[in-house]
Amino acid sequence: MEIPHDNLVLQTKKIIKNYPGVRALNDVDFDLKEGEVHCLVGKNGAGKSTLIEILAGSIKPDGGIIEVFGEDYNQLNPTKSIALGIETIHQENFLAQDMTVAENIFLGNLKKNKAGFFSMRKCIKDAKEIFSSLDVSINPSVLVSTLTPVEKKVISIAKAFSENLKVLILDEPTAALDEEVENKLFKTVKNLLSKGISIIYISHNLDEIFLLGDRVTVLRDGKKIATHFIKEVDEKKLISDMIGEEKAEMTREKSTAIFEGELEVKNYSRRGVIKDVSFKVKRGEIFGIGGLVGSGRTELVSMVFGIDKKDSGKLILNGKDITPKNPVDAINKGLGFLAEDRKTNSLMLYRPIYENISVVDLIKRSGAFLKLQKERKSVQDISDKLNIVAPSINQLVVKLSGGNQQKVVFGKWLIANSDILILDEPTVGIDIGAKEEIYSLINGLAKQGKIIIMISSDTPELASMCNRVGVMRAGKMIKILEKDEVSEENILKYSIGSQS
Amino acid sequence: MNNNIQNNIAADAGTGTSRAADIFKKQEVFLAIVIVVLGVIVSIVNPLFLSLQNFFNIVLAVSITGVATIGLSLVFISGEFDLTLGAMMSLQCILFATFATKINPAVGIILTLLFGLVFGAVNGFFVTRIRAHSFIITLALLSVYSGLALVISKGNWVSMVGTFMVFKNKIFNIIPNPAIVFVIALIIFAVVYRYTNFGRILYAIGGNPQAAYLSGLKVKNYKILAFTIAAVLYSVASIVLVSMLGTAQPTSGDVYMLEAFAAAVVGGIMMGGGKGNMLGLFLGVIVFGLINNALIIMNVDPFWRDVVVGAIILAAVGVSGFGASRK
Amino acid sequence: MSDKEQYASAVNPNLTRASKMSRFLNQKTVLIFIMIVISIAVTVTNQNFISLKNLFNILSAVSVVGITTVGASMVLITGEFDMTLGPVFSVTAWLMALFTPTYGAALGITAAIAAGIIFGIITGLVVVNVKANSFIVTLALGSVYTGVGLLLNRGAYSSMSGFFTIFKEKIFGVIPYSIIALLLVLLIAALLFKFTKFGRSIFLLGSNQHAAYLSGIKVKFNKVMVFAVAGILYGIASIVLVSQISVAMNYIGVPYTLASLAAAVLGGVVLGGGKGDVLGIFLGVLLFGLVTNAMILMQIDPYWREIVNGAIILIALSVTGYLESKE
Repeated sequence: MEIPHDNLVLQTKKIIKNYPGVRALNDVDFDLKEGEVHCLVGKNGAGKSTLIEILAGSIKPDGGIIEVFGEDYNQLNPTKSIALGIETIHQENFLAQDMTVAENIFLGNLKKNKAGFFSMRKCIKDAKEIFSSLDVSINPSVLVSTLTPVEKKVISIAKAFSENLKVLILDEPTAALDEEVENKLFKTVKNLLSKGISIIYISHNLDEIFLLGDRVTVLRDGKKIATHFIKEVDEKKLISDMIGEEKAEMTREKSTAIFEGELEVKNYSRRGVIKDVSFKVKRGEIFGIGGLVGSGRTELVSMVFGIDKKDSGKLILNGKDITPKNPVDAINKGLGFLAEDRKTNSLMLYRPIYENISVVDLIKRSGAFLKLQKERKSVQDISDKLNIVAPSINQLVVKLSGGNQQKVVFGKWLIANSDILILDEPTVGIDIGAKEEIYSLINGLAKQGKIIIMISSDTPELASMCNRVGVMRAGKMIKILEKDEVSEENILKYSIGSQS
Repeated sequence: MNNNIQNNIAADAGTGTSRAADIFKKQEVFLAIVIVVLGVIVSIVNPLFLSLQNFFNIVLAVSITGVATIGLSLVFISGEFDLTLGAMMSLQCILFATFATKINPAVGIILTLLFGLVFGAVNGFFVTRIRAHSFIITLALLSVYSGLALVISKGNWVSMVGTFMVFKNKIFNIIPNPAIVFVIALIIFAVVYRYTNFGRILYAIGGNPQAAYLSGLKVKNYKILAFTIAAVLYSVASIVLVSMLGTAQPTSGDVYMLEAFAAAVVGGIMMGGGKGNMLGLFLGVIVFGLINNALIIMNVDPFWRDVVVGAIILAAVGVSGFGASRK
Repeated sequence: MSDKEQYASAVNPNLTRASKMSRFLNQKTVLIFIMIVISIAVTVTNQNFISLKNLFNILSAVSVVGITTVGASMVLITGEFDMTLGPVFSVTAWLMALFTPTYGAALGITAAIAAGIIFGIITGLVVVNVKANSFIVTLALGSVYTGVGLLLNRGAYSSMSGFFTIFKEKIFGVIPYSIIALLLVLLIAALLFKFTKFGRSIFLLGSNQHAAYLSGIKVKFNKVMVFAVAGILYGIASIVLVSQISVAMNYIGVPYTLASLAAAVLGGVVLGGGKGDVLGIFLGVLLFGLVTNAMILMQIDPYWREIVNGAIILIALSVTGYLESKE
């Protein structure tokens, strides 16, 4: 195959992608050279996923050109992308757990012997060949379910490997992994490079980028900010590229009202997950929890709310022990938990809005009967206050937009009048307008004297909303940023473990 | 978060249990223990239990359920449900008896197998086309097949006594022919599951349909194939049944549905897909045969049978956590 | 309101129209449409079809299965299966027929309902505590209950000929009491679903069990309660049936298990939970009754009944599935 100018494998020219109300990608130029690792960094919503999905063919761009091996395309589709040698390794591994590693490698093309029977031997032999050429030390005859998370990721990569493979896109391959990454995963990646395969690498972990990358492109708000050679750039520069010049000291006004009393989260631990986390939150204060996905943030609050088991930990409100035993107990003690991933944890999608909003309040009330009129009125009030856009509160939640769904979840805890609110990723996947409404809502609650703990991966959001921020890494709360220390830079710095 | 929590819980559970305990979680081991314990108890009470004759009686008694359960296992492992089993067997019994008496047994066998092929393809077609759970789709088809059995037979028995009674016979005067059919089917499908791409792909489809789909496998076609082969096996079971009994009723096969479901689940064929093998299935089927046989040999009140059967199923799914469907 | 609708349609012009369409073209309209078509077709050949008397005939014929369907539906709404329906029904029917002649109907009814509750609670406790698919768990429990019934009655009939025949009779000689029983059960279920915490909870936990748990709903407690209520309903249904036919025997309840599941799903109750309503359940049951009645009036061979029933489920599911995919 002819590879024109400077061994360029792939190039995008002025790629545009619009979503209703948002320009996800704005004239993005990106290129990939043969045998390089080109890293893609940016905050959540910067456009990284959109860009790689366009390359994988699962999203059609609204403008621009994709050039692969000198051929121009207006758009790709999944079959075309794979035929061109572009494979994507998603965050989630798509593996059949109860089958052997070798079978998973050849799932679409299982090996037969001369008699036409399936041959596990041949699968294992061929898998071994691939493994030895990639220097992978996993036994292909074991079941996938017995592997460690890192090994599963390596298998996903080996599965994508074939003669035809030219470009491998790795989407946050280390997000859910903690150990063995360097000697197992990175080794495999480097072996792929030595075979002339080019890699697009997406990660939030800057250490990895400096370890593996040749070049790095920073995206922000759908625009390409810069492409640097790794050797010519430092962490500070990347962070400032990601955040932007305006800095995140947004004009948003923080809650400053302080009331009597405080909540103490004391010595929460669970072996292998959370290590002795303690912090205090004053009434009227918003306490943020930052850190990378997988740093233990969600696990911590799940323990606080009484969902997950814990080895130790007490929740103390104004000196009184209110440690919940289970969610029912937590709700009775005045806690509210807006869980992440609203579709799995919060919403009854095929039930109407009003049932979703009133649930906590109804369950708390005594008596066997519902007071429907009162319920409808209070739900309608909340719905109006939250500005939920729907034909009526009888609408099924599944038909609402992400932002409106999230408002429904908020409504549930508002109507229940929870005293202590734990918000896990309260603004994920919702549009800017709805975000602003939710921000002012949270602020309003703080001003009323509620105790608010807020987890977010969106660092500007944490920096602009929270009075104090605890940063978690590997199950520990490694730093609590006080008032003046709260900044995007500091949160990022402690999250990714930079010592500078 | 849900996943994280579950993973963590799973990880905790994993560290808490030792390897030795895991062995008992294997369905085959659990069943083997049940079989041995039952065997010992029964032979103490009645030494006749431990005779070759009685062993073959047990295998004979389960061979029809066994063949049908092998068919069902294909559907289960691919992650679907098949409630048509009993009704389809009833229909095939009527078809076979009718063809065998009106034309001749050889043609009867061929036509019955062909009809099995068609019905199975129809099942697979509807299950993969209609956006509803296969439980309810096959429930509707169950109704259709049992209706057809009634319409064709006009509600009457079809007798073929003296026409084709091969499966009443025994090889060497000791091994019953139906048992041979069951064992051959077991061996064939042990090979299919282990040594054919089709078999391996069924596990993959049941285990992780998304992974199978992303690997370029035509998931729907394989499911249709699973339903089709299953129905052909129900045909085989029906032919054996009619030839043993000499008559077919429009409800002859109905009892086999729940028996096959129970045997499959106790034998470790996972509802929801992706798990199960022929050794487990064999042991599962044998457990039921053994219980029936033991109750007779020990002179236990036959009314205890259903209670014991239910208890065994509960123990099997409860103790080992098998039969738990993935959600 | 209209403001919001305008805003919504400005954001997504298809939204309001789509939601209006879907409100019109749901499963219930499909059922009503099928019923109208059948009614017209039958009326052409037989004018007796459209009459109040015949309507009462239809309703009376489905009263028993209507009541069991309400019970089965409640369990389905929580996302579980209840295959113990038939076995529980058989035992409660037998108890009713056993006690009534000697101790009076009041005690017979009490015994039947008490047994229904006890079985229901046991089923519920086992289902929420055994980590396995409730289909297979309740199948096993059903076997146990059948066995318990057999052990109690030794396989014998019980007859209460001449006692408590109220459900054979009609109010003012016009409206059968069995219809009143069905309508009362439907009404109470509708009130339960709409106006009680319990009713609301079962829908919410069926829709998303984890979210319900995180919102403070006692998932296990509510599930056990649902199985208990379902047990009561099976008991009531069996009382109606025994009052009509005066005898009870083993396996008398067996056909009701699958018939109720079919009617429930046809009426829009979704396997997996969270969806369904009393009107839909009523329409599902009514459709089956209507078809049977029409076939009797048209003097169609009764053996075709099951085929037609199966075909109707397939048609209804295909049409609704198609409409949903269009949306």
